[in-house]
Amino acid sequence: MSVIAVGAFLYFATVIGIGIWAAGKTHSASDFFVAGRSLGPFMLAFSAMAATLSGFTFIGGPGLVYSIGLGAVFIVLPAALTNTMGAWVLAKRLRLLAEVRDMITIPDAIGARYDSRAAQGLAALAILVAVVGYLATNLLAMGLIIDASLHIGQVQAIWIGALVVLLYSATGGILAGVYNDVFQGILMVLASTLIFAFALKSGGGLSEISRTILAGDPVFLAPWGRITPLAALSFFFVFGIGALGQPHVAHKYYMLRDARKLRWYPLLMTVALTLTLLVFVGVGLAAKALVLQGRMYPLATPDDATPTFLLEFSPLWLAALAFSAVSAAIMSTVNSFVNIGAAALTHDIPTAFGRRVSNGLKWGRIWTIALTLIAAFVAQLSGSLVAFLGIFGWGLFASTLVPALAIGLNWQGASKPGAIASIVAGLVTTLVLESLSYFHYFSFPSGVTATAVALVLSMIVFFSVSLLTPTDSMPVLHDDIRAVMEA
Amino acid sequence: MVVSIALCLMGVLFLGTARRGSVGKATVWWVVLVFLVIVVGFLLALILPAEGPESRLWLGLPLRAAIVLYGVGVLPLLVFPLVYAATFAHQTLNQADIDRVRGSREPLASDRLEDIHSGLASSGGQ
Repeated sequence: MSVIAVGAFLYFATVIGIGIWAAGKTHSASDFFVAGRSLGPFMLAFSAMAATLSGFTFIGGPGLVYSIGLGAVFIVLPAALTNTMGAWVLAKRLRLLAEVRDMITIPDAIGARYDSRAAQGLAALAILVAVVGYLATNLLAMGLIIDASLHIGQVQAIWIGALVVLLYSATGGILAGVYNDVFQGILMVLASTLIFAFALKSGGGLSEISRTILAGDPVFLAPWGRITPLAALSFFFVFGIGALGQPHVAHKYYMLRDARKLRWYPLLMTVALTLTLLVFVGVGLAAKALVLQGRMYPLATPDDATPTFLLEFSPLWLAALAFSAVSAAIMSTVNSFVNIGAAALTHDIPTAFGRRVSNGLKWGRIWTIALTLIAAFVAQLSGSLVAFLGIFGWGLFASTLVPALAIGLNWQGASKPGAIASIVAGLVTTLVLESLSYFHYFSFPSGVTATAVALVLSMIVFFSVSLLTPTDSMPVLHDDIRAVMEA
Repeated sequence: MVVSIALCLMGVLFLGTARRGSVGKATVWWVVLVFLVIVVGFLLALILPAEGPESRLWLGLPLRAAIVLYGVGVLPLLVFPLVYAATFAHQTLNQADIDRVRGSREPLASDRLEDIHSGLASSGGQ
């Protein structure tokens, strides 16, 4: 058995073991969906980081840098701001909301802010649509990674990956998820830092890598790389603002034991995130330099950058560690998505119709299993369908939740019609534009993306409708909501 | 576009840092500083001439790439989390704020809590 296969089995055994251990601590829906509000800042930071980063960080990102040069870095550049911005704009308000209301989901916060079941239900619907597509994409990616390591066939690999996640998600819920996130987050940080160091060493150091690229392909190292400044800045805007609308990350703010511990969250999150993102930049640059130096064959597809680098230029133990890190990045994201999807179905959608589920823990587990199985079936269908479903996941979160949630929790002028209209506008615009673009009915000019258009449009709708809502028709904020917003 | 993106990000930041309609003076200065770093960094990247094979490297990167990566990318990364931690108790959240929020809890919320606990949460042992 290869070193990589042994590493894979050890990794799977550990995450399942943590899941079984956490299952013994999961006694209620509160444990299952918000980890019983028991996290310290270290666990919160690593859990949020592991949920934020998917397999894209290790595979797609370095491939994108290899393909378009430094322009790809504009996707991760906003991380310099987003962690602290998220703490100021979202974390404090959401954590304080959990002091006065029993918050379980992000749509709960929208429902409480606007005193509206419709807004809560629509937010949950948007999350569900995005979650199914996102889940299928991540399960497919995990299938590819497992198949590449164990050579068991893609379909079997998808099911093994899905079953491992299911084992710990359905038994221990988010409690198993966050404990696994910490283990997985540490793995990701460790692997990324080591891969980055090996990448620089293989290319002869950063200066030598730059000299090689400047001599062979100087545009690659221009600040925008091979894309236009408009496209690069569009990335910066979308990923800077859109980060505030990611429910699988925001949801974790509820879980902090003591609101005052938020003080160290941005610092811890920033350190963990920055170290993990080193692989994104380092491997892409090194692969480009190695190809130009004639030491690596030109890659068949950009996504081969990390696997090729690991197999040809790093020791086997690092490749095994990297396998675990990529699986960790995907699994932690899948677990978070499954959890918020199950919460939407168990809690938010029934609440929107004025109903309550009598046994939240049981139904949480049932929906967790159902969502994972549906996503695994979708992941098997066809690569292009899965790619299509995955495309709009992130954008849909951003365009539907940034205005109503991130701005709405900080601006008392926001109105219920404004929130509802912006969620609908974000949902419809993202789905229509991404579909038209995917089926080639329409293509955006270079540098313009459906996510950017949908995000800007939903914000315009949110502000316009809120400002046009007559003040006397706006309900008075509840005292507790006002106190949270003014704190 | 550079200025409008930076303004948008800083606008959201000010909205988040505001407490009862005002923003702490120290926070304002840091946010303005980061705004300037973003705007000046991107503008320099736009207007400076392209580098060639013999160009000087700054910490291993050509000048414009170094400005974007180390200036816009790393500088706020080092500054913001530390400003947040340093000003947290005065300008973000302290025990008095939490007590004030807890004190505002409405009776409705307690009812909701019980309702949710009986219906949703307390399924232990089932």
